[in-house]
Amino acid sequence: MATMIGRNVAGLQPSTVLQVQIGRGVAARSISIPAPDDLQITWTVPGGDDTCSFTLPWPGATSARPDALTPGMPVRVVDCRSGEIQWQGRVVDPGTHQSGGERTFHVEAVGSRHDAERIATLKNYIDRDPANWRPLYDWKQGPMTVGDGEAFTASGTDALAIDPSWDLTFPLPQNSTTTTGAKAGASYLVGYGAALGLPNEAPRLFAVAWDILASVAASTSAEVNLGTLGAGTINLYLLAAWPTVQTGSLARQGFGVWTSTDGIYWTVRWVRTGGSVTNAADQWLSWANLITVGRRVDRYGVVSNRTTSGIAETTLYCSDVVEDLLGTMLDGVFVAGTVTQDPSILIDQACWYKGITATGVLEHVAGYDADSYWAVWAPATSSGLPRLDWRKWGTTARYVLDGSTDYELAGGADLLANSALIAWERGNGIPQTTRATVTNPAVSRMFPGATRDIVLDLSDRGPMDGPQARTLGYEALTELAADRSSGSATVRGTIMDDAAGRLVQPWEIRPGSPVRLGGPPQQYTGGVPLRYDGETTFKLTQVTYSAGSNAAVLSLDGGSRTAAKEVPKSNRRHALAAAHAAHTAHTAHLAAAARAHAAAVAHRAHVAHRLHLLR
Amino acid sequence: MAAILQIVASVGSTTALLDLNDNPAGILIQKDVGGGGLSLGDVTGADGGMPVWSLPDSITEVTTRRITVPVTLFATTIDGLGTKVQTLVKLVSKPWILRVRRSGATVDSWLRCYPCIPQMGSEITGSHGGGVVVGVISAATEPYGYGARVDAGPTSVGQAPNVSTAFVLDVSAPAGDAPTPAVLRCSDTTNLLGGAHGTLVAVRRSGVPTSLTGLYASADAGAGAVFGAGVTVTDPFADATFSGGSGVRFSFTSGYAGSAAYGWITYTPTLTGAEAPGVYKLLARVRRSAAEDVTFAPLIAATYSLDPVTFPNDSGTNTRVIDLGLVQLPAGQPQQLAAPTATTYGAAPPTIEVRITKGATGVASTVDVDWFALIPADEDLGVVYQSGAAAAGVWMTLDGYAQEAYLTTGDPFLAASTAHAGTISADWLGGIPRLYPGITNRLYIMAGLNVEGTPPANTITPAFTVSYWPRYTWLP
Repeated sequence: MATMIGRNVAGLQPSTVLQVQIGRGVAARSISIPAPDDLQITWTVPGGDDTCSFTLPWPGATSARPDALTPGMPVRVVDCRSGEIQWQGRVVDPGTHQSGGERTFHVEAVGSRHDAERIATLKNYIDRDPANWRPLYDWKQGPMTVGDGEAFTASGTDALAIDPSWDLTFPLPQNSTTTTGAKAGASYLVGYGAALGLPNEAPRLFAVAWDILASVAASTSAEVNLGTLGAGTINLYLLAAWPTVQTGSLARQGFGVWTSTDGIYWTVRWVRTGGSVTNAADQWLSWANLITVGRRVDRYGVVSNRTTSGIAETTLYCSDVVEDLLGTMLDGVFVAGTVTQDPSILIDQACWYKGITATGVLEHVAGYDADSYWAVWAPATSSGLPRLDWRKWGTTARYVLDGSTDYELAGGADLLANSALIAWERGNGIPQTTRATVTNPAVSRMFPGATRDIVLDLSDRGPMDGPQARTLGYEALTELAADRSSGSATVRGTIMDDAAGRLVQPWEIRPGSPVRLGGPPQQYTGGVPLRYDGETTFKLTQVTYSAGSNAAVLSLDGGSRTAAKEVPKSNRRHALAAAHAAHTAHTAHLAAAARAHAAAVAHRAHVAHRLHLLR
Repeated sequence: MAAILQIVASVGSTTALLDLNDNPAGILIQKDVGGGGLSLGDVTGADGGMPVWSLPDSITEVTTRRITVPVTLFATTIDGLGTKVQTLVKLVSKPWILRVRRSGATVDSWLRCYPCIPQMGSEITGSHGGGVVVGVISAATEPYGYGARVDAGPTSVGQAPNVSTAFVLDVSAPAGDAPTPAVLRCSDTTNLLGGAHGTLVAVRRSGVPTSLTGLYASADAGAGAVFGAGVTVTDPFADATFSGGSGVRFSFTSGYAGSAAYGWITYTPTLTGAEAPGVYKLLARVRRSAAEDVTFAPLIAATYSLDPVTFPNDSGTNTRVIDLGLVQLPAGQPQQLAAPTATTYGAAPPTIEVRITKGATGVASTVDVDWFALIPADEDLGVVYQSGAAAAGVWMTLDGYAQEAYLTTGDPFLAASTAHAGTISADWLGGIPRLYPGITNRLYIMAGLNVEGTPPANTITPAFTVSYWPRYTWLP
């Protein structure tokens, strides 16, 4: 076999250019080998360096397994031309095989990002979940209930201005007697519990926000107290008499009385300060818009919560969370690569008192921004740490695949439709059908004047009315219209990297950017704006490189298929509001985006299932 | 003169463990065995097809071959002959070295061979005083025959690019016909091995490497500028520790508010012409006054944004060389024409802009840039990272055969025994240069890379010895 090793860009063979190094810096003796013929590497987005596998022949059937092949040993694939690390991870399975006198190791390794799956702690970035509140003091005449929040409007301190879907209501029933000093309240008990078990890891609070409202003014005080580690209880708020109009406020660390940096939980309560009174009619006192903001840091460990104005404390960007991870859980594990801030997307819920892995946090955040992804790439230097990126997909194609590329596309046209025939059930149990139609340019072009139907059976979705049924029909049709073809392409030679302005080898192609099919070969795209159309422009979501064929298989996503796209950011507020409205008091869990998202996914899965059955 | 065909203990050895062309005094070999002589015919190349057509001086490597060696053994007694065959079988039953010199030639070569079983002829004859046995060994071997080791140097390699020979170590015209791995040794524990840092080693071995010029530019040869509030520039900025005595300084005030404001330097390398096409690593020698996050974002030809490179926050304030990524010349185009043109396809250099920002920390600080360099990064390039200061007498060896770096207590080529040099380690990342025969290969050696420790000053001139064994696809 001939291989080219010159100052050229064509015909390079991986065996003379790529090198696999196992156990560097850890093993008693590390192993460096030219790329084995069955070396296969994958990179994915989201994720980054994903998997690497290869076979390593090893002489001496009776000798012990080389120390370098101990599970967990670092593995890296290096380009010898430039010294750049192409992939880095760890051995998960040395794959020891012995047959006759021959011993081989079928090594399986996973990328550095998997280290983030084994780091877990408690996290609270922002919490609007009523489930984390527990009644405090047992005022038996009127125990706390979780209401529907109908009496309240959105908090003035809430950056997202979410219409409240729950409240904590304390009834003062007719004929009950409120004696002087009587009190009832609620505690943010998850924080208290966290500090009992893991005081060092218990999330520190940075800001708390609340609104209060009573059906009648009374000589009863409203109090907000902060529980700290080591600094006792701090009274953040004391209003002598409850108001009958919604009143709210926000307290934060470093402002006023809140000087402790060890706030871990908070309580809200009412206390009868006037004389004993018997309530002549049913009355109530309510708390709502209870928002807990955890303290967060940037990549350097410096507190990074926003304090510039009253509304800013409840602001949480995706990049804020990524920065905090780099400064806390992932400190010393990864370093910051490119972390892009997008102030147009706010997170409403990110709180895990039952523990969460760093990967779990990243996946949660990624659900908010379909146009960004997280990825962990190999470090730039030998002793460096892997780089964590949180970045945008970008608006220009990084690779243009020319006529020498093999590609396969699938899907897209099989469910081309502009009309839905919907079967649904009225409230009185009468089955009914209706039709929803949309304008689909593709249908108009291919089937002029015709309708292309799908059949949608919603009869098991419970009673509904016509508009609701049609709304679901529109959703299904819109989704189908957005369902574009996806596929794969195989790159065997060099390809122009329009981001770096140089020709790259198949093993240097990385996912995480738009890719174009069928452009003029090796042509710079000049920053022309693009859209994912499923015909020429795709998201490059995965690259699988095989040394044996020296080819990279590119996974192409025509767009709109990723789960993260389910709630477009422009509709997020709307979707949240709709989800909130749908909730009733007895299921008063706050509809966090994650749940709205999950519901949307479940719904679509359901629709898809139906479609499949009826096709 | 008869051909020499011996099994020896090592490459370079001329002491036969067993002579396969036995020629004791008084006995003459007259018989031509099998009519073929030494056959090295099974060298494979080109993978059964045409290689991809590329730059004229791209290099083809063969990877396997098989030799067929005729064996003629003499002995003065029959038993002695048996003993010789037994010796032969024992020697070739494990990896063995064959010394070959063609009849009439004056240059030896050695082949590292894999174990095999020799096929020996048996002739039952009447009683006589001795005997001859002939046979054939057919063994897989490494793809090349080796010549005797050649040591170039030690050669001092300067580290200040205002001197024209800085970073350069030329190895003149190795013998042989195929690229051969280099082995570099250095024992400069005063300077190069005196602290934790990285040393870059690269090679240019195609075209006319010695004609490749214009790789370096002092920062003040470019245009330093600033954008936004809180940052100012001093260009040129005098500093005796900088190459040529000057560079560019960016001063960030305590009120600097982050990446919306930045300083930048734009320069155009003088690298141009026929030697220019290729991929280069863009390096910069920089210093900061406070251990802050300083980010360098290169922009090539005003079009191509390389990934920003960030100083880790905890890695000190020493002047060091940092790696800013890969730049291709010509930028954004193929490196050669596919058309069969007679003229050489050259390249003009792109403008290189490096934008410098830092995280807003409320601390006034400075970032200084000494120079920029482009080091060829498309043949072999790597960096050896050393974890600490080596004790006196320690040698660092970059072994191009194992692609590993070693630190030993003595010269591994000379000392009777060497030991691992204590707790410090050397970690090689990349490709140790291979040398191409017949031309002057230019090695680039640059100290003080990407470090958290103590990079050496740019006044050091560490001496390196480059050793190689010429490789022959056939025989010398």
